[in-house]
Amino acid sequence: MADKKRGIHELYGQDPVAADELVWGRKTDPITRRGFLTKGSLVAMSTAVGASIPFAYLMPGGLIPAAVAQSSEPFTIPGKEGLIILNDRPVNAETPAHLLDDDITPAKHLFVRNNGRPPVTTNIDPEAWTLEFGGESATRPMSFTVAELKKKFKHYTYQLQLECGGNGRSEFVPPASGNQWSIGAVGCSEWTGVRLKDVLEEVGINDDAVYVAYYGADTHASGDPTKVPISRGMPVEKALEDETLIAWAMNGENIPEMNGYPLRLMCAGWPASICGKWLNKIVIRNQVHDGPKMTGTSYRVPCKTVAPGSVVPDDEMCIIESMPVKSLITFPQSGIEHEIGCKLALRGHAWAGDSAVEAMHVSIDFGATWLKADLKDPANRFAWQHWNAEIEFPETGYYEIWARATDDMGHAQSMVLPGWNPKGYLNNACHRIAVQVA
Amino acid sequence: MRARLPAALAMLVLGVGSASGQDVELDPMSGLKMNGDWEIVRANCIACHSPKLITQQRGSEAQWLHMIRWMQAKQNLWQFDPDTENRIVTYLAENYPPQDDQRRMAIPPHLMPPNPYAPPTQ
Repeated sequence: MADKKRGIHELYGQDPVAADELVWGRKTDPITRRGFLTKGSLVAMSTAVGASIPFAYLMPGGLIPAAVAQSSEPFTIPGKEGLIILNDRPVNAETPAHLLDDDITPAKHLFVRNNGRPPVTTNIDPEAWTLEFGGESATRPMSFTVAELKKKFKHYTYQLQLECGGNGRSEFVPPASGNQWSIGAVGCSEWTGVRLKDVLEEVGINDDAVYVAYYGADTHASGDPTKVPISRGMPVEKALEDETLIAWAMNGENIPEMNGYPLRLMCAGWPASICGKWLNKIVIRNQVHDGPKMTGTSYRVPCKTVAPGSVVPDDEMCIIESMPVKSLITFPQSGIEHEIGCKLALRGHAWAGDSAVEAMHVSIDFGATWLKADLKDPANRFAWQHWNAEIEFPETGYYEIWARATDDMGHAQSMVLPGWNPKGYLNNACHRIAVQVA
Repeated sequence: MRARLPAALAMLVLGVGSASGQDVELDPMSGLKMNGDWEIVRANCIACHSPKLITQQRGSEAQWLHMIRWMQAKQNLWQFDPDTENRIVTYLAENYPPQDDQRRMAIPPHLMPPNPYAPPTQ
């Protein structure tokens, strides 16, 4: 191991390739100059970084992981385990598929997508947190503390899918800018709160209302106090759905800090960016909300399909509403070896935005034939539907297991990438895992 | 680094021009991109086969080097001094790199099982 007294920067300054081997046991391929990580050295590096390292195989030799280079402290997200860190400023981290195996996503495995700097909420009194209601179309602008919300309105608990609109972005070609999510910016936890519609009824919705939007206590990534990092919303009809909640609890506990403690909006089935975190203000608008990340290419896709790489004018972009049908294989983990002759049990989850999933199929022959999986009904609307199947491999060899969900309107997941869009949203291509049968 | 090597030579029908290195002048004689050490490549790599066998293919440094080793082992290609070999491999990998414009990528290496047929790494 490294001689700690020399310091990591000094070590790397002298001979980065030798330092790699010394510090991480990592060898560098002389041709590609990529760092070649053995399982052991990857574990060592991941431990130091405090998270698994995405695309470690692409990390050039002689490079100090950014999280170690910037700080003497390993980078971790409190309360989270096993997440893949995509970005540490602002914090964005996704969950590997096999860690989403639970029916209800535990707090430690729910992805984190931040647009700005989270507020410091460590020592606050969550009951005293205030939510303000206003906007042009609010009849009686007013405020409630969390304690008042809890006391005044009926409580509801639902399992609600939560997926980043950009989940799957990393696969788009030409590439789309933004955090390069693979498949893990999604989860389905159990949320408790009051119905947004019950509170809106108390506030009063004027006849000219068209949109309901949020503001949160997070601050802009640049540190500029006058800039709002994100403020999005939904049409009034969506705001009035039973499952649209002002939530203070997740899985029966306080919401994790990085997921919006102490209060967040839940607008299930639509891009998670509408589910405002650290919620402190709701506005009833007489126009489509125009806050940051409502316009331009943000959470908007071409109204009509376009060829990959197209430059689409603003007025031909439409706001994303329901997320598309999608599914995950959460067991087994991709990359396993399996013994021929033994059946392999598969399982995972499926969801379809505002719709329900009607059928689930798996293929072990690259989509040539499909086997119907058992699919459960959702616990409630917008909850993940769990599926399982048992497969037998006809002979040894390399297999990919592909999973395909079909919603109740006949929409199925695509095997290749779905329609290209400038910011890489809505990739619901089938999830694939790889298995070597020996 | 895991390389998909043996398939590379069999890929004879790629054909499509790469978007990388647009506006690069092509050598009228060989069709090679006139970048960097292209003349070393022309001098060493088209005695036995058409330059089209180069320009239609794509590969990483490891893949191009593997092709060179195969030609040295099976096709009477001469040995290079290390500097020349390095220049050739660098030119090829920079000007004829792997294409990444397919509609869907392969499952990434970190999610792959151990491969009993894995090519030797270097």
